[in-house]
Parts: sequence; C-alpha cells; structure tokens
Amino acid sequence: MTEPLQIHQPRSGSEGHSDIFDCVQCGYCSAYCKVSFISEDSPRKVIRFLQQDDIDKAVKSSFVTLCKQCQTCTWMCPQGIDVAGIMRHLVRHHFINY
Amino acid sequence: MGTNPPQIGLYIIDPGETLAEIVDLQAVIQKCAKIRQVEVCEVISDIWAEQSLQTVQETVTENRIDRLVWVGTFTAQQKKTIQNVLLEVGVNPYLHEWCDLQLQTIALGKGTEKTLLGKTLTVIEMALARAKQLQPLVPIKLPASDSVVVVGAGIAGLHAAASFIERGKRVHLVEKQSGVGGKVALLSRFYPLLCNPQCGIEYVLKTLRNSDKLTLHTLSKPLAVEGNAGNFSVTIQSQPRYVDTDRCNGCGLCSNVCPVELPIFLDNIQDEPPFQEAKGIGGLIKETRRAIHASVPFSFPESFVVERASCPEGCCKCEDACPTKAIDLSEQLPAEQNITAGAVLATTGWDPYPLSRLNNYHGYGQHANVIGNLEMEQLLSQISKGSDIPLFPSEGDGNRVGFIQCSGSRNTKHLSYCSSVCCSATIKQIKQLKTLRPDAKCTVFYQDMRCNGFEEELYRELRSTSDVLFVRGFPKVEASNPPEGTKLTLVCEDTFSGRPITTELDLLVLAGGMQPSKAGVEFAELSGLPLNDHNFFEGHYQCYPEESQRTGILTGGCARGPMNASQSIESAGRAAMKALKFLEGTISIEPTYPVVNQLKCDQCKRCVEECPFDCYRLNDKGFPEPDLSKCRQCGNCMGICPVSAISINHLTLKQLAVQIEILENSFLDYEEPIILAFLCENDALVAARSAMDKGLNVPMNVIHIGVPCAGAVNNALIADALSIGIDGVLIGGCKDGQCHYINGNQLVNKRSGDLADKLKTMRVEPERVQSLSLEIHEAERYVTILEDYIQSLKAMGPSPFKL
Repeated sequence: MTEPLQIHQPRSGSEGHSDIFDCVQCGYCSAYCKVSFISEDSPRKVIRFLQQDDIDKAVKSSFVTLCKQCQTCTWMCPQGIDVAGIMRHLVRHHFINY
Repeated sequence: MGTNPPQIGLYIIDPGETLAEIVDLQAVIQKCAKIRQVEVCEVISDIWAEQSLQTVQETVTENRIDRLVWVGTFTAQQKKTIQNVLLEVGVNPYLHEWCDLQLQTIALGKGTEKTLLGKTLTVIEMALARAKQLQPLVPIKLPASDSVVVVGAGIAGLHAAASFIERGKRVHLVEKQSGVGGKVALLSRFYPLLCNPQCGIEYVLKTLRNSDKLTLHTLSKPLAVEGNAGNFSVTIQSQPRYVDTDRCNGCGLCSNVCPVELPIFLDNIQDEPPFQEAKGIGGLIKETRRAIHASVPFSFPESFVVERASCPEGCCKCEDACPTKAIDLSEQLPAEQNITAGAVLATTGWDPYPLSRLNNYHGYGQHANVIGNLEMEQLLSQISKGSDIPLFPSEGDGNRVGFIQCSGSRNTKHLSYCSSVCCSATIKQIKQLKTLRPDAKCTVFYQDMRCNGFEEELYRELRSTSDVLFVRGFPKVEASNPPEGTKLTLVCEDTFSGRPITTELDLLVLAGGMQPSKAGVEFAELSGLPLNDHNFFEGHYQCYPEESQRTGILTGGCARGPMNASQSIESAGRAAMKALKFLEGTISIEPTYPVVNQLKCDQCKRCVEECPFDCYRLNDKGFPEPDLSKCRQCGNCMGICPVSAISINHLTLKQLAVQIEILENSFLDYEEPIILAFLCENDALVAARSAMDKGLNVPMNVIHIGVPCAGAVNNALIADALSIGIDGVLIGGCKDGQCHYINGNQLVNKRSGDLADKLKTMRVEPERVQSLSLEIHEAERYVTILEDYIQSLKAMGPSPFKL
C-alpha cells in the first residue's frame, strides 16, 4: 500500500462518524444496499473485516468496486456510522493498489 | 443548662487495651482533666460490660454533666444504644460528640510516640471544643394532609392506589382517558404467566371498587402542583363526560341508538395515527364504536361517556333513550378543582413510538399488512374473543407472519435506548398465535434477543417446540404489487451465514419501542421536575429510584423508564411505600436543618439560587427562609453563603470553626504539612474510612471532618483554616452525576474561583486547596492522592501563617 489507511476515526459529532467499532453487525446496510447481493461480500462483511484488522481483505473485496455511493447504508445505519464514507476510502485504495 | 457553662464528661473507650499500646492514655487523661469544663475524664476498657453504662449514667447524674465526648471507635448501632441509655438520665441525643480515633489515622499506630500522642490530644481537644458548642435538638413536626394524588390510572397507578387504600389513605386518581387500565388494558396477554390482563386489572379493582376512599377523576389532567411535601395543592381540569356516573347503569341502550360510527382503537393506540385511517389496524379490525360508549380502555368507572365532538348537531337520541335520565347533552365547560394532598405520585406511563416515522424502513402506514405490536395485541385479543376477523388481510388464506425487532429502539436516529420489553412481547405473541393458528409460520428478524431473567425460559421453549425461524439481521420490506399489495417480500442478509434470505409474508409485525408519555412530559413541565436525556423522569436510579427532585413527588412505573407490567407494579409499590411517610397527618423533620441568621444575612439570594431542591423562599422582610418539608439537609446553602449567615444545626459554622482553631498548634514537625480534609459522608469519607480499615498507609498529616455534602464547606472556613497556618485543605466529594444532592460536588468547583481570589489577597497559594472526587471503593486511590498532595505541599513550603 502506498499510504496507511485511516479508517478507525474516533467519533467527533453525532452524525456521520466512521468509528467502525460502533458497528453491531445488524445487517440493515446489507439489506437495503442495492448491490450487496451481486458480489460475494456485503457492506456488513467489509466492516467486519475492518473490525478484525484485516484491511487487505476489505480493500481487495470486489464489493467495494460495486459500491455506487448511493448513501442508503449511511442513511439506514442505526448506529449513525458513515458506511458509504468508509466504502469511498476503500474503493480509492482498491484502485491504487490492485 | 441555661446560663450555666456546659459540663463535659470525657470517656475514652479502649476495648482490649489496644489503644493503650499505641498512645500513652495516662498522659492524655492528665492533660485533658486540666481542660476547663471537663468534669469527668476516664478510660473504660469495656463499655459493653453490664455495669459500665450504668456507672456512666450515675456519674452523669451526680456531676450534673450535660454533654459527653466519646473517644474510640463506634458503629452507628452502638452510638444509638449509648444515646438511648443516656436519654434516660436526660441527655439529649444531640449532646454527644464522637471522636473517632480510627478515622483520624491514630488507631493505625503508625508514626512516632510523640506524634501519636500529639495528634490524639489535638483531635480530643477538637472534640471538646465542638462539644462546648453543641445544642440540644428535637425533631420538629409539621402538619400534613393524609390524601394522595396519583396521576395516571394505568396498571402502576391502580396498584399504587390500591396500596394506599389498604393503608386507609384517601386517593385521588387522575386519568386522562375515560376509563382506567392504560396500555395494559390494550394487551391480549401479559407475561410472565401469560394471563389475560383484563383479569389482572379486575383483580386490583376489587380493592378500589368497594372503597369510599377513592375519588376517580376521569378525562382529567393536572394543571398545577403548588406547595410542598405534606401540603401540596394540585389543580386538575376535568372534561365533561355528559353522563352522570351515579345514575348510569351501563345498560347500553344509548349506544344502540347512536347514529355515529367511529373507527375503533386507532386513536387510543397511537398518538400519531398512520397516514390513512383505512390502513394499519383501522383496516384490520372492521369493528367500530359509537359516539356514546363505555369507558375505554377498561370499563371502570362503569359509566358511559359521550365524545361530544363527534356528535351530529341537534342529535339527542341517546338522551331520549336513556331509562335512568343519566345523559345531559347541554353545553358544559371543563371543571377545575383544587385537591390538597400530602404526596403526589406520577405514574404517567408510556406511549408507543410512532411507527409512522419508520414508514420508509418498513412500510408502516403504506401497506395494510404492516402493523405495530400493540395492534397485534388488539388483533390477538379480538380473535381469541371469538371475533371473526381474519388474521391476515390477504385474500387467500395466508399463514406467514414476520416480526421485526428493535423497530425504533436502539437506533441513534430514533430511540437510542433498548425498550426492554419488545423481545419478550414478540415471543409472547408468537406463543398465543400458535395456539390460535397452529399452522402459522413465524420468522423473527432480530439483532439480539433480550429476554431478561426468567423470560429466557419462554424463549427457549419457543425455540425448541415450534417451527419459528429466528434470523439475525434486518430485512428490507417490499410489497409485491404496491400499493394495494397483499403479500410482502422481505430481503435480508443472514448475518450468521452471510447469505441473502428472501421471505414472503402475509403479515408483518413491527416490535415498536416505548417512549415516555406526552402526559408525563407535560406533568414534568408543570411540576418543575427534570427529565433525563430520553425524557423519562430523572432520579437517582440506585439510591432513591422512585424519588424525584421535589420532595413528596414520587414517580413509578414506565414514567421512569421502559419496564414490563410486573416491574411496573413493583416500582409503583415502592413509590407508594416512599409516599406513605408524607401521609401520616404530620411530617417529622430531623432537627439538622439549616437556620438563617438574619443579623448577618445581606439578602444576596445566593442560597435561593443554588439550593439543589429549590427550598428557599423570601419572607415578607426579604430574608430567605428554608421550607423544611422540602429540605434534604445537604448543607449546600451553608457552603454557598458569602457572609456565613447560614448554618445547619449540629454542624454549625461555629462548631466547625472552633475545631479548626485547635489546629493552630501543629502536632507534627514544622516541615510536615498539616492537611484538613472535609469529606462527603456518602462517598469520600467512607472511602477514607475503608482505607483505614484496610490498614493502608494513610499519612498522619491529615485530619478528617465529615460533612453531609462537599458543597457544605464554606469558603470562609477554608480561608480561616489557611489563615491560622494549616498547610492544605482537601475537599472530597462524589463523582459528577453521582452526588446524592444532585450537584453539590460541582458547586464546590463553581465557587473555587471566588476562593482563589480571596486566597491571593491573603498571599496564600490557591493550590493549597484541592478538591477531589472519590468513589466509595477508591480507598487506594485516596491514599495515593494524599501522598501526592503532601509532596506538592512540601514543595510549596510551610504555610506563611504557620507558627
């Protein structure tokens, strides 16, 4: 990787933070995502990889390339996590590295 | 007593002569016997021997001793026994002074012989000085009313009312609906026994029905709560029923002739109804009600009620049909009345979270077969009553039911807390559904199944005996042919396998959450009670769970937070128990209340502003006066008063000041700092005491004085202490949010700015005063803090005023 990936950011405001450890794996994002069942992975799984510190797996996932940035996941997330923002980070790294 | 100088008896209690091994008690006795007004000075090795206390009694009578100083270590129980024995010879319980050598680090026996003797003498002299200032005190009695107002006649309010009536108290039960029962009356079953709640309400009503102590105010709401514990004046407003409750016999002839048909239940269940009335439960339960109908939700009082707003103009069919002439449709205005009560109980309950706010998620209000869990209860109860409503609105005979948990709860965009009952409610509903329709196929979408306590058994039973599919994950809901679709398609990621699941359903139940009732929020506003972040009533959840910030107003049931029916009943019972003490006809008040010295007071009103319980009022001369029935005796007024005009009895500023004066002569070497620690008796003092009990190395430098709250320490006392050469003053309170008097610990920090200015003019470093927050278990931390503090005081050097 060219630059270190900064995903885990502590919560700053009430809206749209990207603290991945706030994710409780409820699956709302996956259910409402328009592309999640096309690829093998889903937004929930990608966040799980990140929680397990498996950043490589998350960046390599074919799902991140499919993400259309429709923001539905961010809008649905009961924990207020900016899921689409995380995907945006990952897709950039995906195309830089693979 | 009177003008005679007080005569003091000094007793050193030394069981097993452990104290004599540490301190030369003979030297102490010799020195103390020379102090003025000390008549008797003795060492008793075993105070609990048969003759000991009797001898003390005799000595007290012979020498006309009127106050006693006890040196040693005593439990609260032992103090009480000694006080009672000496009360027999006329010594007021407030004329004892307890000098605890354990608390003052002496009993640890660490330090040289000289310092131990010096410190022992110092603390005994402090106790003697305070003893000279003690006053005999007796509790005061205030007149009080013996009736109580209960706001909300849900299951909690009914049970509370029943407990009061069983104790012979008069109860005014105020209910906004036309009948009692609240939300529980809308349920089909309630757990854990899964019986019919109508039966449960009937059972508690048995006590209420036959009592002449109950006054039920239906269609009413409180408008104002004035006054204090023992003597509240509650104004309530009652809407007219248009039916005389005494005359009406509930025959129902009026209902039969009424031409108006209104959709049933919809408005009772949701404060915010779904978008279209024909959808949701309105579309499911085709039954209607008339404009004149029996009390809802539970038919008590057994009188009908007219919804006048729905009546057609000029219609008096019911008035004509009534055989008992109970109906009067002439224009009537809402009635207001004042009720005097000793206590007020708020059991204002909960409202269902408006599921229409979730319409984008799950289609509530858009599809006829998406309903809330309270509507499901209604449906189940109608079906089990034998009504021929189809369970599923679809044309074909469907049998697939889905449940989505946490609909609105545990979501930062809706209710951030867990509503705690919905998981068990879903399990309960599935169980009943299975008995009514054994072929029903249920799927539950959940995040965590939270079945607390014994409810877990219901959950296990359901998992093992029936074909219910539990899916961990939340689905996306789509109707198959919107907008009038009769089948729902749900797509969901099973978060265990990571695979998508597609399900077709005929009925979808959203397990909606609980939010505080609108009526509760209104009551909080009019009575000036604080609400927590979620708009439930604020309270000290562990120590005084049912008490509110206003003494005499108690809260119970779901007004305090989400709870199930049985927890709610328990909570109401506890609240009723707490309220009983205000309903005795008189209220007894401990004599340790604050007294304002009007000669010193400059009417600045700081006390009025800062009192955490808002108990100060100005009298007709403009001086503040505490309302003793409201006062919780925390002493924050004593701490805040800029002119030291307020003292609480038995811990007056004078009593503290004379103790501090004794510390003018240090019992340690010149270089060793002396620290005076004022510690809150709830937390910090207990932590310090447990440090001593554990035998931790608590430095000899510290002298402990217990105060009811850290906020009771006046800046003048601190300045006094520093000006006579004490090197440091420590103020120990609770952690933020844990103070038993709301914010006493924060008030200390608030006025530290004033203190710093004052100290600078005295040329004393402000750092000599430290405040700390200590939890009750933090004995080790207390010792570390003390050691660091001593180091920093040593670095500063001795106090400039030290002799």
